[in-house]
Amino acid sequence: MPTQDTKLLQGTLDMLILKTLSVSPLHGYGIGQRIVLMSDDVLRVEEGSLYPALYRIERQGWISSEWGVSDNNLRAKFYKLTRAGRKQLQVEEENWGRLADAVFKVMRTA
Amino acid sequence: MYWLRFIRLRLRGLLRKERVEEEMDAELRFHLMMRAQENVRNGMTPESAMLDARRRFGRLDSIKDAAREIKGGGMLGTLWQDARYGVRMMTKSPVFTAIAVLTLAAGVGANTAIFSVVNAVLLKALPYHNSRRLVLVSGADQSAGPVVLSPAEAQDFASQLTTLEDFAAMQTQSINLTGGAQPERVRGAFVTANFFEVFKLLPTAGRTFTRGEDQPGAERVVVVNEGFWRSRLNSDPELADRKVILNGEPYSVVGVVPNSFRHPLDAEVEIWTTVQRFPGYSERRDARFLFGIGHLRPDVTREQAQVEADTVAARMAQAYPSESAGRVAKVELLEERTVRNIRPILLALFAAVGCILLIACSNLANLTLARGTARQKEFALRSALGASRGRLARQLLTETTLLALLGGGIGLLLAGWGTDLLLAVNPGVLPRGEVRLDASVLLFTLGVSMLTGFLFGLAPAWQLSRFDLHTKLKESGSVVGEGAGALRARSVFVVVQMALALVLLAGGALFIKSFYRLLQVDPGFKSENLLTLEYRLPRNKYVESSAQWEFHRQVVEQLRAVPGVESAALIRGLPLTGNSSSIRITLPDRETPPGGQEPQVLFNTATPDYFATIGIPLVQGRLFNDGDRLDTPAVVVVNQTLARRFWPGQDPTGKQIKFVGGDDTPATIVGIVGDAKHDWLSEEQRPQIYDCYSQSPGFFATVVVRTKVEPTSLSQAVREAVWKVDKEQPVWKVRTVESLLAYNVADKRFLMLLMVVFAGLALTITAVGLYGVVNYTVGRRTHEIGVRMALGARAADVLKLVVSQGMRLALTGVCVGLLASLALTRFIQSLLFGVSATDALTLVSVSALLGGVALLACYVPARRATKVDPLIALRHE
Repeated sequence: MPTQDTKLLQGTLDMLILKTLSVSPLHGYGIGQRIVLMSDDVLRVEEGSLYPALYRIERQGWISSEWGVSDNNLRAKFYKLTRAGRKQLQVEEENWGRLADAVFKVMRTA
Repeated sequence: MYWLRFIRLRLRGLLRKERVEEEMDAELRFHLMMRAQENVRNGMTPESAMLDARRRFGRLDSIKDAAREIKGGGMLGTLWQDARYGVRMMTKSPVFTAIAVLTLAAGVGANTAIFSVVNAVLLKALPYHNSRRLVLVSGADQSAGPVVLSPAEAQDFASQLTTLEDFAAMQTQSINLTGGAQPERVRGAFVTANFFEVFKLLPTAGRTFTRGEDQPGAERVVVVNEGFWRSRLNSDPELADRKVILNGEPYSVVGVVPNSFRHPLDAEVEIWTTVQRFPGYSERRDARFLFGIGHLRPDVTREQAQVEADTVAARMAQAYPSESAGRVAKVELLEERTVRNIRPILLALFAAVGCILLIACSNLANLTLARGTARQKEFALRSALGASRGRLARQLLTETTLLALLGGGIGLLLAGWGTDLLLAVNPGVLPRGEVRLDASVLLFTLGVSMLTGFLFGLAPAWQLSRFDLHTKLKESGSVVGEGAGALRARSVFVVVQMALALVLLAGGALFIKSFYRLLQVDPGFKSENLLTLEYRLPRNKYVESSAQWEFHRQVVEQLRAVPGVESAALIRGLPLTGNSSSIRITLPDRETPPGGQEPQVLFNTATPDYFATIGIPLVQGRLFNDGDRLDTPAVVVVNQTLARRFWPGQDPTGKQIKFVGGDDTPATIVGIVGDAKHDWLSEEQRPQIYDCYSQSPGFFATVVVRTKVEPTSLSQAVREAVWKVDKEQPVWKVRTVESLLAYNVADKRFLMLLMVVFAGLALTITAVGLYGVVNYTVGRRTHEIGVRMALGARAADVLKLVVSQGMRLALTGVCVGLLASLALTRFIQSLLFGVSATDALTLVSVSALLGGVALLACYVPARRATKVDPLIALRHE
């Protein structure tokens, strides 16, 4: 269990959501779960940030939504990546890589 | 792409709000369930599982709010909400809504109607190339005499005025058109060859004039407009051989111009020919009949052009002292000349409708304030539920703007009908057909409506901001009494309304009185049963004076023979037709004044029976008779004013008069006739001199016939009488003198009618407003009234109480209005005739009228109050 909730930047959360959905469509709860899983329990997304982020990304057109049935037979809204979303994910991945390298470089120089 | 999605999203948030909310709820609930289930799997009890899940969600509301922010309708959404709420409120109080909308419709409608006329007449540029820079150049004497130029003078101006970039000269006249089925009269213009170039007008067929075509000796050419080409020339595409016979001579048609071109100052003109064809053209410097027209250079002002023109005129006066001594030049903008007369009328009307709108606004502000008090509980509740003051104020403003837009829409409809009515009742003062509800008018209406809505929404919105809403909510039952501020505001509104209504009533009454005075003016002749028409002889057919006189004499004879004719005569310029000419005279029996300063009198030519026919009495001496012929000494008849001016207290018969610019033979005065108005009923009496047709026949004549029967029944017979003498002689302007009289006063009548309508409207709105306020106040004070009556007050006391409170306001308003009237009515003095703008009797009577109406407006609801059963009143909250 992490000792603190890592605060995620808004842009980063968007990127993570896109990445999660690049694997397969999911509902909101599932997205949150998958992020926890994929980050080995380090990143926990608060519900208060997840849904506004989802709605925002949807407004941008990077994901689309559809009502469906979940594994346990409950009605849920599923999100999936759009073509524009896939492109955006690539862009954000590149940007993030560049940012991470730069930060890393700065931190390396003692 | 993004924007499309954005709009779609917002629209969905707007239109499918419930669905969006539901979906959001469902989604969040699902998440909650999943979390709870997971917790249970991890070993929590169902209750604590749920609790934990909820806790993780934190403030559900703020998530929803954030989501709504993204998905919802945005600002448009809240506006839409407000609007729907407003509509609901409006349907709940239909009486208020109806009154408000109708009042607004009346106010906005009247304003729009007048504005559309103002727009068409005053604001729109004339339909000419660069029309705002067009100026009219005319001449003038020291004593405001004839304002035209001679061709020689026009040429000098053309070459010497550097401040104008082009210069043409023009004049219009009725022309005889023969060669068709019937002899016709057509309105034509005589212009210099560069005329069409000044207007940058290209012909649709053929050509316009070439240089030199306006010199004597050039071919006779004419340019016609499309209407003429279609009706008289059958749209013949081959112009080359077409000729028309104008004033007895053949002219070649060389070109056609579009119908959209209206000749300046005379829209009836259908054909244009060159200047030297004008009957009476001469190369003499004092043969004056032209106006100059041209564009100011881009960097030059009218004043600069005027200064230069003055210099040129002074130069001419020096170079040609006998012809041009004392003459000055006048340069005015064409636009100015066109609107000069109607501008004050339109501005007065615009001010009047502005007042009406203000009255309507204060009416509505009052009503809305009253309602605002009643809605306090509603607003207090909403405030407690989280609505901010700004939100509530926005709600109010949205409501009032909605009302205003609705009222404005209806007002637009009314304005449409109103302008149609105005044009139908058109006294010739308004331009026909160009008054339209076009874009600027619509914008105006929209702007005025929104402004109105905003203005009268401000009052209750402001009222709202002063209340402590929470306290109001806690108070049980109704609000007892209202804030002193609101009451004061309402009182101010009533006073303002009364004052404005009084000003309008005063204006209306003044116009009524002015019109009445005008109708009472004695024109100096008897206008009933008089038929008239005009004709002009072609020069080449009647070259000799004797031939001219023979024609005129025979016409009079034929006219006398028409059954139903009591008497017939000819006059050069009939009163009230606008035909008039002046002449300078010198009197041999006294010192000659210096050149240019000789006295000027109205000049006319008449046949002997003229005075009897039209009803001007002979005061002394004799009228013309058969003994006055071309070969006998020249005789004249003068009017009383002339006699009194130059020979006060003496008998002028036998005295002599000489005309400046004519030959040097004096004419002898043989008789004095009564005074008669000439151009306007409202003019001051001017000295007049008449000579006789038998001695100076000329080409132009106006027939005057007094009939025993209804005049128009003889129209054809009178025409034929002229045709019996020459069947090819066109005649025109067949009408009765009474119609001329009506036309003469038409603009004053028009103004009066409109002002009366507006004053009546103002009075009604004000009365309704006062009634509404008193009624409402009484309704709210039912409880208090009940108490009073239970404590022994009689009906009469209650009546007195309510009425006196209302009347106090009303009378204050009347006083303020009186002061305002005294200050403001002087601006309309120029439109009034025979009555002072501060006429005491008028002001007193309208004050009394307004006071009386106010009394009635207070009395009716007050009386209702007294009918209340005290027991019911006491129970009334």
